[in-house]
Amino acid sequence: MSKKTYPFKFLDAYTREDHKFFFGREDETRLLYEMIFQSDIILLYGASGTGKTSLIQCGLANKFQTHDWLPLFVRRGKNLNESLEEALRKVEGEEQNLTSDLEWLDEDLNSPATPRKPLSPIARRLRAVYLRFFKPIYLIFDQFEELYILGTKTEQEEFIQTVKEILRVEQPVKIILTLREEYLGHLYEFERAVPELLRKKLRVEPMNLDKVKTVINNISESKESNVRLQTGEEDKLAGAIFEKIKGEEKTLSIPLPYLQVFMDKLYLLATGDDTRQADAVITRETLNAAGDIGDVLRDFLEEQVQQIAIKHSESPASVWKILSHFVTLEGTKEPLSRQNLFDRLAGVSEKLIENILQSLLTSRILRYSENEDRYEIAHDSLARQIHEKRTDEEIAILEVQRLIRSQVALHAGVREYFTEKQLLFIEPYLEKFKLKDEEREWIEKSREQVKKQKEEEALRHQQQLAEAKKRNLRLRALLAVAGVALVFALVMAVFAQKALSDRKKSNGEVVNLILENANDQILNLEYEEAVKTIHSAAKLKAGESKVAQSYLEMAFWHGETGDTARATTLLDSAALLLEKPVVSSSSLRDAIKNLDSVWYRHLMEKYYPVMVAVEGGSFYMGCDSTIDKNCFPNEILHLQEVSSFQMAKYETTVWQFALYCKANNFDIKDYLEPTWNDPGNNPVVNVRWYDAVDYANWVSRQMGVAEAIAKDTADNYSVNLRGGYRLPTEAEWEYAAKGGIHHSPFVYSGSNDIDSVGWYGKNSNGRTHPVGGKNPNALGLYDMSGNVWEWCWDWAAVYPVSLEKDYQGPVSGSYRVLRGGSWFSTSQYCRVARRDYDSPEYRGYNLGFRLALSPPV
Amino acid sequence: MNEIRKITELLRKMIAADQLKEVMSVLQQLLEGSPLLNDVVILSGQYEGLEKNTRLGTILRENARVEKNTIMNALTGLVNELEENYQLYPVIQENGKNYLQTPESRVLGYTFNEHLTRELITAIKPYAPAAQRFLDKVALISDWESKPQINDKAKEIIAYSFVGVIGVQLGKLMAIGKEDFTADKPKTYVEKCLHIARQSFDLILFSMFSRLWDEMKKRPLTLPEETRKLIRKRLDHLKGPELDEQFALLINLYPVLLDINSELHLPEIEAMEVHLNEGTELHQAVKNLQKLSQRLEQEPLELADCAEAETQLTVLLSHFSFLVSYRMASIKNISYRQARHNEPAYIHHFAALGIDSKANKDAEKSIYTQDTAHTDAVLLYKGDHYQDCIVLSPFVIDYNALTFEGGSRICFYQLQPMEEELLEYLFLEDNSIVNLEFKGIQKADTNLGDLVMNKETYRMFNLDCVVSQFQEARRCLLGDALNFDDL
Repeated sequence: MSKKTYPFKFLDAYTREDHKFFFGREDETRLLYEMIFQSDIILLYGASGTGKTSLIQCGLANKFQTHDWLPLFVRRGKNLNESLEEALRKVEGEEQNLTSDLEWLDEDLNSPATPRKPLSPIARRLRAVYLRFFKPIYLIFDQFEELYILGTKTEQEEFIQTVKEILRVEQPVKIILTLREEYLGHLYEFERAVPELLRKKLRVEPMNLDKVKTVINNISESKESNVRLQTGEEDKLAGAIFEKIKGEEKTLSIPLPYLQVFMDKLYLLATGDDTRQADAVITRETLNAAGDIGDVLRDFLEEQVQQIAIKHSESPASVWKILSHFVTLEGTKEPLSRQNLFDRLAGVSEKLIENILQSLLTSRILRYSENEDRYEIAHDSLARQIHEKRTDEEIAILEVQRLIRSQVALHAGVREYFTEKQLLFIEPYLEKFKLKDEEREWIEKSREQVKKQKEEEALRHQQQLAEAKKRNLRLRALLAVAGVALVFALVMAVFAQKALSDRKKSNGEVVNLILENANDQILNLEYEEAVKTIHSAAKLKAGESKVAQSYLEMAFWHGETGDTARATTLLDSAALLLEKPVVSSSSLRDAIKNLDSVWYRHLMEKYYPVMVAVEGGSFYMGCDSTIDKNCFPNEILHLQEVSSFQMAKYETTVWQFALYCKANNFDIKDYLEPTWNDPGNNPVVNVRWYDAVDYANWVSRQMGVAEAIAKDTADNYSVNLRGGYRLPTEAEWEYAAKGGIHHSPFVYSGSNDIDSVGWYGKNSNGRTHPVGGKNPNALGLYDMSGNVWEWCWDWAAVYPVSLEKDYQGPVSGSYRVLRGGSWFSTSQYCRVARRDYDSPEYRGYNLGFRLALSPPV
Repeated sequence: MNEIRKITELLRKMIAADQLKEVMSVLQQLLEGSPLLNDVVILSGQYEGLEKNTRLGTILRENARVEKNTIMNALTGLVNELEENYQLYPVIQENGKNYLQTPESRVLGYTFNEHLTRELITAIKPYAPAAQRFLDKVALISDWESKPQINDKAKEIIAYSFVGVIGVQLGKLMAIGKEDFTADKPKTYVEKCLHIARQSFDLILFSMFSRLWDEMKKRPLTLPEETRKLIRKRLDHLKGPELDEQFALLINLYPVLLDINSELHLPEIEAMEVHLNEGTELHQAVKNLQKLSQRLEQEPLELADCAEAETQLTVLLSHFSFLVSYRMASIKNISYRQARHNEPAYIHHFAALGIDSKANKDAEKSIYTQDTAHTDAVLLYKGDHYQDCIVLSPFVIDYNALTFEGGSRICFYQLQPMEEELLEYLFLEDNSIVNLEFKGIQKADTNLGDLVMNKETYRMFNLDCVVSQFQEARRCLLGDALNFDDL
């Protein structure tokens, strides 16, 4: 005869082993099990206390044989994504790095010629877990609402991406989410990203009278239960228990924790055995002895808190205060580590906290998870009760803590300072809890920021007045001076006079102002004027190193355009200011380098392309519909391979192209958009494909490498991919745009958010923008999406069907490929997979290019 | 001495296979009463501490590896000591003898699925390029079967290669093999072997029924009495199929199909004709599995039975290895499209069946084609396209497709309890029964348009169709009519 055991779980969930006492959920279990074979993601939702976790841990678990499922329960812990990784890592066992002779184990041996798409870390981990057990994996995210109550936006977004990846893996993996129904609305973003999320969902209803009767009567009849109802009175007693728990509430159902706690109370009344070994018979008398029970949970809590307070010679308020930290502002559970609690209860003895924690565990109000090293309230129903006991001040402190934590949780780079209003709100409570150093520093910085903002505002008023005055003075100077040369002298005089008289500026500051003016002129390609401005600055005998740098830039520019004589004069001026000799035997570039090597490097990067090494590899070219929902028919996904090469970090700028024009006696104005007043750091536009390849060969010559592009007598162009500077092939362009070996899974180059990486129709204000103004992609390449369309080497054609290495496109055609979209485009055109083409003769105010180079340095 | 050597050899193998916990458990039993026991107890403590630290992440991975190696070396030393100086410890010899009498000692000689994996990966080689490549890769690796990473790869290839539902079941067999040993494990394992054997037979037999039915619809055929008897036995059975009866049916059906049409739907069966006789290795395997089946409910099974079941299943699946070149799909629905002045076309929405198939709607695939296909059908086919396929319905159904649900719920016809006027299908995932009762939703005056407008009546209509089709097929194959036909 089997041993009788206590059938109730108090506030714990039922598990697989408790199936003999798990009643009243047969329909829900069957439905849930059926859903498992209808969808890979299932949502189980319901009010708090309806037994969602038990339904999975006991109901569903018993539908499976052990080899049919590998359940992995994941709670949020500190971060849901990290907890998932940790849960998988634990079952994955020791990570076994494959030795080089076993790397083939990771290959798809069905078609080894096609390399397996690189597996994401989560997919790799799931594969490892599956191979270890060969069981379908069930990822069960219990109390999923914690992600929305305690998680950050970034954590939520990352989790959605992870789920999308999980749903794509080859192994049998299913996801079950349990959620309190009041948080259903929070799934809006999730459902948009994963439409199947809500296709299979099951609501767990609270238990009504019939179900409660089923539970109690079945337990009473079970031969393995040590609790039974008085024979002959079962139905009436079950009904009376339901009514007692329901009390005055006009409801047709009761939460299960209430039933569990009340049944426990009845058991103790009947037996007095807190080891719960003795057999109990619940009678009408037992029920009457329970008296008018009111709110079962509240009574239970208050009774326990009272006892704990007496035990530790503390006031009940102190115990409530500790408990309060385990409950969120919304009245839900908030798991905390011991250290978290110590930090929050600054000033309270750690020993006392330890002792009270222990008592709360013993009284089953708290639960401890060894895996996560965290304590939490045993059930959300208790959390709500604790929440209701809070004072206004406690609530205010929690609000302040949440505000501080949410702000400081952001990366310092994107974090905002507390506003003056927020500081006013938080200041009175700061001494009532312990702040982390980072939080304290941020509050301090916010105070300074508020102070600084006030000062700046005052200063801005002053400056606005000064600016107005400055403009009047400049205007007066311009009108007064007849010749261009005098303008600069007068400007200098005005600046100097203004500096000396009105603002008491030093000569150095005046020089800075003049050089700023020169820089503006350089930005606008007015090099001749800039030289004159720099001369003016030189006369002030201040800021010599900066003036010298300006001279060096002018020398560099003239030297690169072929005007060596002028360059030498300017170089001498710089050397004079720096009080360094010019090495007469060296080349102009070397001479500049000798005078200021850092500045020389800056100039090379300003006037010639900065190349980024791109490690070669194979990749899926075309549009991956799992990433991008706007695939075009001509963007067929196919495998391509490219050798290592280099790609220009930025699109070719006006500065760079103007240098080429000057050196070759072309007029840069032919390439500038008349109405734009193109600054030098904008990408050059109106460039024909032929201009771009000619520029590339010129850069090769300038850099002392062999030309990569050749033209035969019939005007047919050919490219040597191992030669010098050139246009990238279409495959190279797309490979680089997709992040090369990083295989970034984004719609645009570097992000799924076009605004963060590119200038396009909606944010460009109808024109190009300085290169590098948006975020780069994983390779550090800027503006691969948007700003200007970029010419590629290839003739436009449909993609090749077979795997090609370093494919250069067909040998002939009518149109050359364009990639990346422009300031004029809708976001669709800026997708990394998007292809366009035009006649190589075509010029447009949205067409530019960037260079490529092989072999890599 | 022999006993000790036998045990020590196996212990070394277990150390190499990283089964340190198990080694320590065996050693503790062997060394009970000897001074060496303390060493094992200390090592066990160390190992448990190491496992805990690893679990809590309080030890660097590198250090954990070093510590584990130290424990492995110490265990190897103990095993060597045991082998070399066992005569110094008479108690060990006695323990050794006793230990070999225990059921768990049988675990030492047997590793679940090792034999099956080694044999099947070779058997499926002609049909599965992945298996061929795998064998090329391991050609120079001695004893690859004992290397978990390589062995798992072989298992993965087998489970992913075998046709649809059979591959899924093989995956489960691998899962059972990997579970910790419990008293129930032998029974669960043998049961799964038997299921796989029966379902493999059924898959072939159902495809033959399907073919035969198609032929008999075209021209009148009278089947030999013995064949009819066997078909009746399978279709009108009041119990599930028995392996020996399935084998007998296969032997009888094969020449019938050969006679009526030279083009078999499963042409590979022709190549195994010599095995379709009594007394062949295949027949012996069937008989042995049948014996195990009879013992299943009567007596507790042991590891030796698992080894036996595995060996016999391996023989059977090696003969049916051609199933690897087949695939299965379930037609979820078919829509029709014809733009003005354009050719009409059908859009077939179907779900591939196998371990890697997903249950989501998004995982279903579509074909835009001018070809027609049977709606709600489960198909068996070769290559990438199912146009030339064997329709397995109504013998095999996808319950979810019939009831407009996502995912697949593949069920094999099991039996028909005559008195209840329903058909029983077996849901392969958990061997639960799915009953299909004829509701007669379509009456003489039913407007079919109205009927399909309501999802619930449409579902019932679909399920009724399965029952009707089954009866039609049955009537045709048997050439007679029973009471159930008149539903």
